[in-house]
Order: sequence, then structure tokens, then C-alpha cells
Amino acid sequence: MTSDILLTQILSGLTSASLLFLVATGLTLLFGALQIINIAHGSFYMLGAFILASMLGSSWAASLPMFWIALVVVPLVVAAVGVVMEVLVLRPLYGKEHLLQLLATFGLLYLCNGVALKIWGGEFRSVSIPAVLGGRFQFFGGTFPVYNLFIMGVAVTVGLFLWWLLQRTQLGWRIRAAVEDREMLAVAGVNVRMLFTGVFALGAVLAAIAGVVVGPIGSITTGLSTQILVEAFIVVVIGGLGSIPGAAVGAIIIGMAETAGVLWMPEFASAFIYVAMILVLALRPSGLMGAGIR
Amino acid sequence: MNVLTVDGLVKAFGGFRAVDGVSFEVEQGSIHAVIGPNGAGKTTLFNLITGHLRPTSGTVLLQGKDVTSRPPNVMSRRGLTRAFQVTNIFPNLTVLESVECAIDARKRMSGSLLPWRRREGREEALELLDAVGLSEMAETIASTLSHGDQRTLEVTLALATRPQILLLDEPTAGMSPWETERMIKLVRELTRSRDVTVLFCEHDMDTVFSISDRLTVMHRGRVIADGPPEQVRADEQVISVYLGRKEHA
Amino acid sequence: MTVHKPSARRVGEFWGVPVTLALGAALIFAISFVVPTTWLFFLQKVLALGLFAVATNLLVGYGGMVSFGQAVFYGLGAYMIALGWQHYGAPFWLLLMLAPLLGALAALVIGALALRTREFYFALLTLAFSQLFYTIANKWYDFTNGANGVFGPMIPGAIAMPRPGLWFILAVTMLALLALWAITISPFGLTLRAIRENQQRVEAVGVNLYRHKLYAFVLSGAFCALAGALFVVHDQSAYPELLDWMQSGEPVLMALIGGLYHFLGPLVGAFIFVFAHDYLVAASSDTWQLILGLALVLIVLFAPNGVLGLWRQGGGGGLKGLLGRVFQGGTHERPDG
Repeated sequence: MTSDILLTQILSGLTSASLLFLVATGLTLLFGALQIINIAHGSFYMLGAFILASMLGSSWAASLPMFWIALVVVPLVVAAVGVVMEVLVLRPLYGKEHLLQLLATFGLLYLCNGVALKIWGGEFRSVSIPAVLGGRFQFFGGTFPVYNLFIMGVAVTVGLFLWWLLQRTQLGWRIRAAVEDREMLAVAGVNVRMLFTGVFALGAVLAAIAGVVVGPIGSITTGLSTQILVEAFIVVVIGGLGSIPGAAVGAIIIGMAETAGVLWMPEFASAFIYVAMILVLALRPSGLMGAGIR
Repeated sequence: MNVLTVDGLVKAFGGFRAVDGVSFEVEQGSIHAVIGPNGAGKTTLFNLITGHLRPTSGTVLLQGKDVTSRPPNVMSRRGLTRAFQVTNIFPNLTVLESVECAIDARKRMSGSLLPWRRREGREEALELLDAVGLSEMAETIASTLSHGDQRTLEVTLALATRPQILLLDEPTAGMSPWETERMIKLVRELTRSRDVTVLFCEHDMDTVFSISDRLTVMHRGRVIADGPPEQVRADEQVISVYLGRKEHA
Repeated sequence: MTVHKPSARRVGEFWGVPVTLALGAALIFAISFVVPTTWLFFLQKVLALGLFAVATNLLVGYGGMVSFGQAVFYGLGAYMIALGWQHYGAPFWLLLMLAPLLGALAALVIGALALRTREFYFALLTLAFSQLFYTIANKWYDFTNGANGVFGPMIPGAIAMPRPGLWFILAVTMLALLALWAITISPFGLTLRAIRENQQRVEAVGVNLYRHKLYAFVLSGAFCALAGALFVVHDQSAYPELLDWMQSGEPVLMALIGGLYHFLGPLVGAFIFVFAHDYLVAASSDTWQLILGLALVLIVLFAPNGVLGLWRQGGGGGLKGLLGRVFQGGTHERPDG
């Protein structure tokens, strides 16, 4: 394999990894702090893409730098949706059986899909890459889309932001503490409910960013809500429920595995990642990095 | 013959020794108490004996056989069963079903798919409930029982495995005086009629002194006294350890 | 020694479910002569899915093990019939008997692996297996016909017609349900519920946790596979979607709707689910997800014990109370969450 093809593959893998990281981080955060597996997490991803499509398709799109506006506005809108979900549906269920929580998020998945179908219909949508991010750049005799580098950049930025948030701020400390000992936190005067809502909103924001960012290069349908979900679960499991560095490592592994799979065994490429998950759990039942938020 | 022999048990968590070289023997058919202030290491000691924790060093002998580090379900089958400190029952099963489950386990029937075999376990369960005074509550859902009844159920579950030696972790914790008395009566009955040896750890000094045949006193992970109640009561070290702590006893 | 008379509840406990099943079967048989063909197909589907749901609930409701991968066994059962016919021309009756065995075997392998992990990982791992098998079925074109699925006269003529087909599915389903019922009232059934209630305690009384969970997984897998085979009798085709994780989720949803903690709950849930899907929402298919999602959320929040749970609560005098007590026999104890 020539070096430029190899490099292209690696960059491709990293692009996938970037998207996965954004979605998986929210998922793992939710699990670490709230002990919830959110099956509706992919819905935030899907909503991000749909709302972007709407904004870019609106009449103002011509006169405003809509993509960049969307990048900021859409996650906030989706976060609001997330907050409503959390307060109305999930809050009453904290402390109840995990099965019920899981089923509630299943219901939310269907609900979001249903609403999206009503609003946007079942047709494919697509949006174009913003001009300034278009084109390809050259390296070592190969080319690679600039936009994909942008995606990676977004992921890295978000990753750094999260690291800063969790390690260097009081909020981050509280989130990490919530994983360790919820009751203690409440006794210490922290409003745990607001904290949970905040974490949930944060997860939604992350997934929505991924949704906005993937919009121009994917096809936007309700299938998005489940398409990335299973892979994100695999990333979270491999990396360890609750671990963000783990999510990063897992995302890279899965992103690469996916690309490699497409190259070598296109038919069974997707099977690769499931096998990877199964193997990892077989050898290390607590995931690669174990549980616990870091 | 000693039912249980504990020899030089040590459990270190890093530099901290929760249990620091504990040795004692429990005689067949006796009621043996381990007492000590909070943090003395009693619960850790129990966890070591029952197999919930692995000792750093030392041995546990059951009927002369080495059972150190065996897991809890194996210990249960070997004849050593423990009732938990925090009531650890089956919340949504009835009292009868809970006891049946334990009996089925003892009889190795837990995997049986034949419905009519439930009768065997049920009959024995009813007998046992009779013996401990819970017959009237047989059809009651366990989580709706009073605290004292739950503790009794807790002990009954342990009893159902027909242990040779029963470990009770703070059996009267949180009980009213009446419930405590009933528990004491139950424990006495056990050793007498069912040939069960009882090892328990307790805070409540009155309970301890009224029914124990032998006491082992622990302090900071070590044994500071070991013998019949009158002897231990008069022991100077014991007095000095407890003098400042009488309010907590 | 006190003599313990069985309480009225205990009598109901034993006979409630078998009697209901027998009556239900008789009713279905009777009306099969007079109802339109679409109803016949509807009932076929409800029964097959109902069995799938009850078998899944053995794990979820009784054992407390949340699996999102039961579609693996369901799909394997279906493909056993379809591929056995297509590639080997094997007789249907043989394939029908092999289907549960295949399901059991697959469950043994998957369970041996998956049950070693903690609760959350278990759910996700079973989900991964579901997707894995779906991908294999989808892509292994040469063997499974890929996304097209397998079609054709794989069902013997005698039961390929709607009414005999219904009778056949009815008979097999009833027998299977009775077997599952017997399992739930056996000592193993009690062990399973105890596992759901308190895993630590169950181990402390001497039960080998892993082994008994594996038994449950294997039993569930076998019956799920049988349900899949029955589905093929109804649908006369097999396709990859039968294996994916959304399909795995359906029986759990049905169990929730009907009542996770009642033996017949999943069957009731299957009826409601299929009825709502095929009749109520048939007009506007994109509303289905919306309604289903909303219903699920409402049920989880306000009626987590499902339809039968509500019924039981309402048990008082009169017919409703009587029926409530009959159904009570099928409950396995779980007060409102």
C-alpha cells in the first residue's frame, strides 16, 4: 500500500472517529454521571442535522453565513429539547429500575423520530459544504477533503474543552463527584437535579454539534438517529462507561476499524466493529479503560 | 471439636490493617460473640471468614478443613452461612418463597424445571417459618414486613441452608426491645434444638452478655480478650478500652 | 405443627394461566371459522410475536436480565426454516424441531460470553450480537440471499393456508406457553425471580449465579427461536431485519405494555402492539413511531406494570375482580415501581 493511500485511510478513519467521539462522549458522560443508557442519544445527532438543513434551506441562508450561525444556534436549540426530555421524562425515573429508564429512552427515540417525520418528512435531504471549507488539500501526492479536516478540528477542540471543563472547573469537579457519590454531593448543598439536567444538556449539545458537522457530508434522514447509535455504544463500551479518554481511544479504534474494514472486506466491514466490541468485552469485561469518569 | 478455627487472619488495605492477626476458636454448639467498638474490624473479619474478602494472610478452618478464600456460595454449601448486617432479602418475594429459595439451594434443586418439586421445598419452608415464628407472614411480600420481622427473615434465610455454623452480623441492630428479645430467644432455640453453632458480632452489650458462651473482644483489628463472659468482663484491657466508650456500646 | 391450607389465591395461582390459555385457544379456534382472512393472519402474527415476547420476558421480567439481543435467536429460528428448505430441501417438521435447538446452542455460546459482564455491558453486548448477526445475514449473499431475504413455498401446503396455519401456530404456541409456564412455577422459576430480586443474596444461599443465568438464557433462546420458526409459518419468508436490534427491542416493549411482571403480560402486549400497528395506525404509517413513542413514555411514567398491572390494581368485585384474580395467578410479584 502506497503511503498516500495509507494516509488517506488514516485521515478517513480519523474523520469517522471524530464524529464518533462527539456522540460517544455525550453518551459516556450520561452514563458516568446519570447511570443512564440513553437510546435516544442519536436523536440529538439527527435533530442537529435536520435543523441545519432547515436553516440552510431558509430564505435567509443566502445573505447570512448560515452554516456558522447554525453551528452555534443548533446545539443550543437541541440542548433545549434535551432539557425538556430530561425534566419531563427522565427525572421522575431516577432511582427506579434501569430497565424502565432504558425503555423510556427507547420511547423517546421513537417519539423524536415520529416528530421529525412529521416536520421534515421521510425524504432525504442534503446540504452543501460551506464554500470556505470546500476543496481538497494536497499532501504527498494524495488529496483529502478540507472539510474532513474541519471535522477533526471540531472534535479536537471539543475534546480539549471537555478536558478543561472536567479537570479545571468547579462544574467539572461536581460532575466527576456525582459519579462517585451522589448523596454526598446533595448533602454538600449542590443542586444535584440541576447538575443532571446540565449534564444531559451537555450531552445533547455534543451530539448536535456532530449532527451539524456531518450534515454536509451525509444524507439527512431519520435513519441518522440509529445509524450512529450502535457504533457509539461500541465506542463507549470499549472505552469504558464513563471514561472520556476512553471514548476518544475507542472512537479512534472503531473509526479506523471501520475504514480498514471497508478497504479489505467491504461486505463485512460493519461486522468488524461488532466483533471488536465482543472481543474487548470478552477479554476485559469492564472495557479497556474501565468505568469511572475522568 | 471446634467448628471454626481462625488462625492469624490478616487483612491489609494498603498500609492499613483492618484485621491484624486474629485467632480464635469456636466450639461446636456454642454461642460465640465477637465484640468491639466501631472500626474494631468485626465486619471485615466476618467478610474474611465468609469468603467475601480474601485475607492477606492467615487461615480459616471449618471442621478442621481449610476453607480460606473460598467464595460465599461454596462456604454456604460447606456449612457456614451468614446473615447480613444490612437486611439483604428478596424484596418482592413472599416470606415463604424467600425461604423456599434458600432451601431449594441447599437441596441443589435450584435448577429443577419440574413444577411439582416445589412442594418439597415448600413443606420444609413452612416448618421452618413455624419454628421462627413467621408462619402468619408466610404470604406477605418481604419488603412490606416490619424491620424486626425482616431481620428475622434474614436469619431464617441463613438457617434454611442448615448451616453448621451461622454467622450473624449485628442481628439486633435497629430493633425494638421486644424484637431484640425475640431474636435472642430465637438464637438460643437454634443452638439448642437445631444443633447450630452461632457466631455473632454485636454492639449491644446486654444482648451479648445474656446469651454468649464465649466472647472474643477486638480492638483496632486485634484480639484483646477471649473467654467466657465473666472472665472477659473483668479483664482490665477490656475495661479500659470500653471505659471511654460505654456510651457507644 | 400448624397445617397450612392453600389459600384461594394459591389455587388461582396454579390454574389461572393454563385455564386462560385453554379458553383463549378455544375462542380463537372457534372464531377462526367465521372471521375474515385478515384476522386470521393478524392472529397468527400475534401468537408468534407473543411467544417471542413471553420467551424474552423469561429473561427480562422474571430474571431481571435486560437483553437487547433476543432477535438473534428469533431470526435464527426463522432462517433455519427458510434456509433449511432452500439449501437442503429438508422436511419442515425436522427443521421445526431443530430451530429451538439452534436457538439454545447459539444462546449457550453468546450467553457464556455475555453473562460474564456487568448489567449495562450485558445489554449493549447483546445488542452488538444482534447487529452482528443482522450484518451477516444482510451481507452473506450466497448463503442467506442478503437483503432480499428468502421467499418461497417453504411451508408445507397443509399449513400454508390461513386457517390451518393459524391452528398450527396456535397449537404450537399454546404448548410452548404451557411449557414456559411450567418453568416459571418450577424451583428454577423461583430461583430466577430471586436472582432478579437480589443477586448477592441468592449467591449467599448457595446458588451458582452464572450457571443459572445461563440456563435462563438458553431456555429463552430456544423458545425465541421457536417463535421465529412460527413467524415463518405466518410470513413464509425470512429476512435480515428479523435479527436487528430494533427487532430485539420489540418483545421487551410488548412485555412492558402488557405487564413485565405477569406471565401473560407480554402476550397481551403483543396483541395491543400488533393491533395498534396494523389497524389503528395503518392509515398513516409515519404516525406510528410518534404514537408508539408517546405511548411508551406514558406507560413507563404512569403505568410501568403494564396493562395487566393496572388490571390487577383494579381488582375488586364482579367480573373484573374475578378475572383480575385469575390473572393474579400469573403474576410474579412486583408492586408498582
